[in-house]
Amino acid sequence: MLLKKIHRFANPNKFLKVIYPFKKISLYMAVFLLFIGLMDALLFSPPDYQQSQTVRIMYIHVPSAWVSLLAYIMIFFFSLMYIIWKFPLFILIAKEIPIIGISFTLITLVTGSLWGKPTWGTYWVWDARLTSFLVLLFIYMGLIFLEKAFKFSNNGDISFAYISIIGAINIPVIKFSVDWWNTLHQPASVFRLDGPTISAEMLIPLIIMSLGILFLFFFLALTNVESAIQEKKINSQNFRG
Amino acid sequence: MKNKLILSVEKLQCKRNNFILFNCISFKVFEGGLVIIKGNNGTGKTSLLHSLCGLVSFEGKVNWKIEKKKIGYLGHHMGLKDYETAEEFIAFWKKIYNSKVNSDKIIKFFSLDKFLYKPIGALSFGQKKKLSFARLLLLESKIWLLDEPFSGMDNKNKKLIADAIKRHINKKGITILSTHDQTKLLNIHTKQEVRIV
Amino acid sequence: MFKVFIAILQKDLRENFLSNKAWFSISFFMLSLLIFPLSFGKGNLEEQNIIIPAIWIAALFSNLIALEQMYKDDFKDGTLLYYSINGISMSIIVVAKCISHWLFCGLPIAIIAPICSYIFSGESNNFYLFLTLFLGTAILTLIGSPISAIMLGISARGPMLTFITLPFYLPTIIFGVMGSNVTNNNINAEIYLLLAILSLGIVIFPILTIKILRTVIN
Repeated sequence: MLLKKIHRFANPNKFLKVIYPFKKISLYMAVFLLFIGLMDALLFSPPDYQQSQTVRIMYIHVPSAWVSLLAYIMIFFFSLMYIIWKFPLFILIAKEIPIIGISFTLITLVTGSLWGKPTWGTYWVWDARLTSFLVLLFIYMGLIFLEKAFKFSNNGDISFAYISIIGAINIPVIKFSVDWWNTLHQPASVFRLDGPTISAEMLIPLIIMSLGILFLFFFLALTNVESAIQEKKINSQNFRG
Repeated sequence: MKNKLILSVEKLQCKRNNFILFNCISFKVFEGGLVIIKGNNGTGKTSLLHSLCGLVSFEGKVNWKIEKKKIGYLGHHMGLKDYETAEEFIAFWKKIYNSKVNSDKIIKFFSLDKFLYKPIGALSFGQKKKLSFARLLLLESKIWLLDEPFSGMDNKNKKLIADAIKRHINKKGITILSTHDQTKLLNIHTKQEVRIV
Repeated sequence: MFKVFIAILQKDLRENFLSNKAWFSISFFMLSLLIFPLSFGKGNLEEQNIIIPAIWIAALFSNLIALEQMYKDDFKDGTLLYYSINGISMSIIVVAKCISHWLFCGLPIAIIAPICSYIFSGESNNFYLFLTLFLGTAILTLIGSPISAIMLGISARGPMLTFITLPFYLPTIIFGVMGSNVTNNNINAEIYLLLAILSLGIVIFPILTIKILRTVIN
């Protein structure tokens, strides 16, 4: 059943038509939510009693961190699906995500270090979360280099898929090992079993911002996928001609 | 005398990079048959041989009537290591194939004894190719898939290899080989040609 | 089947012996150890306790250097192709390759490292260093093998291989260095963690390598 449904959308031309409205919707949603969220975060939300105004960096920092993790999870799932079902569309999508993932990872690292200067006193601390994000950045870089290196080779798709799966196996271990190595960062304060510890006035703009950035991510991913499909079409025409 | 069917190929189609290499190739090979695959460069001779051994994914039917492990294949790369000697090479593959062929016979047939104890890196191309044929004989396979067996050989060695192929066919083996030049050396009545366009 | 495995393993070991690869990685280990005292200044080795990290970094890079060669020669001259056509299972080849790689780039380093540590820093209780290196180099080999197989498809594989493999080596390095540093700790959690990674890796990575090799050969 599911396979048949996937089959129907796996045709690139059909897929282009399917994603077009989604792309438009996510663009509008992203602009709208980011506008509202930024207004709320920068103007109306209260300053923190310890960190005062600098806490507003959080509204960019945290959502982009979430999205950069989500991006890797998506790469992993699309690669897995490609290995199982062998539809070229999946790997096409998976290959377009790393460049967006790396941008969000960079945003996270830069805003994080800007936030760290007033609160911790340094731009960079060798603590567990920062380090594991830096490792994530390098893994994304590796994926991008890999894609570029295999551009003129036959089995670039399958190699990309396997590397991203090896990465997905390793990332939890890396995270765990870095945690083991050192920890200084504040513990997770939103996703906790006993409910969020953050105040509601700050939580609402945070949620709006993360939805906005999520839609921005979708918009960028869909745009990239669309252009990749068009590029593939042109290439295949060159092959015949 | 009726010969046994060994291989039947029906409507074989091979794709590479979403581009169809060849289409609708069908032929049948009986015991003692020789198939010559002809075609220009880039038409997919090697891909055809690879799809026959099941290395490349293809559409259509390839039906072997014998054990698939026992296919003897010889391609462009000969699987020779520079640091080994010819003798070690033969001994190694004999162990891998668990074969009981007398290797002295093979050495004599291809006159390998001149360079038996030399490292392979010091051999010439023709000598290497002769040596790689020894691997085929060790396998005791009924089927030989040869990719351009005559390329880069002088006339004497060409004749030698053609001889080996003829012997193989007389023993009811089959040979499928791809080539783009002359096949005058192989005048066998069971010969059939497959053209790839 | 076992006979075939032994034959292939013998061939790999011989190849490593004859073609200088193995000696190269061990000598590279010694050479890169030399760099650390020179770059840290005179006579500070014992105070700053850098010998264990230095040994681990050197072990890591000498492993990486040999990694590129793991499947390359057999792939280039078509030996892998002939193995797969004649129905020799890929698992035999992968296991033989991993063992021969570890025997030449892991085990000697694990044996030499305690001696180096004793010579350079005077530390005589080096059992944990040996143990963690013994486990850690095996993990490095296992992680490296699928990536080395993937890189067969491209021509400029050396630098790419290093870049992609290094992040995946981090857990091993972290646990290894911490595990060899604590000499008077009775818990040794790091060694158990290394064992856990090793036992997971023995299951997962050879399977991945087999799958990758099959697709690369075609």
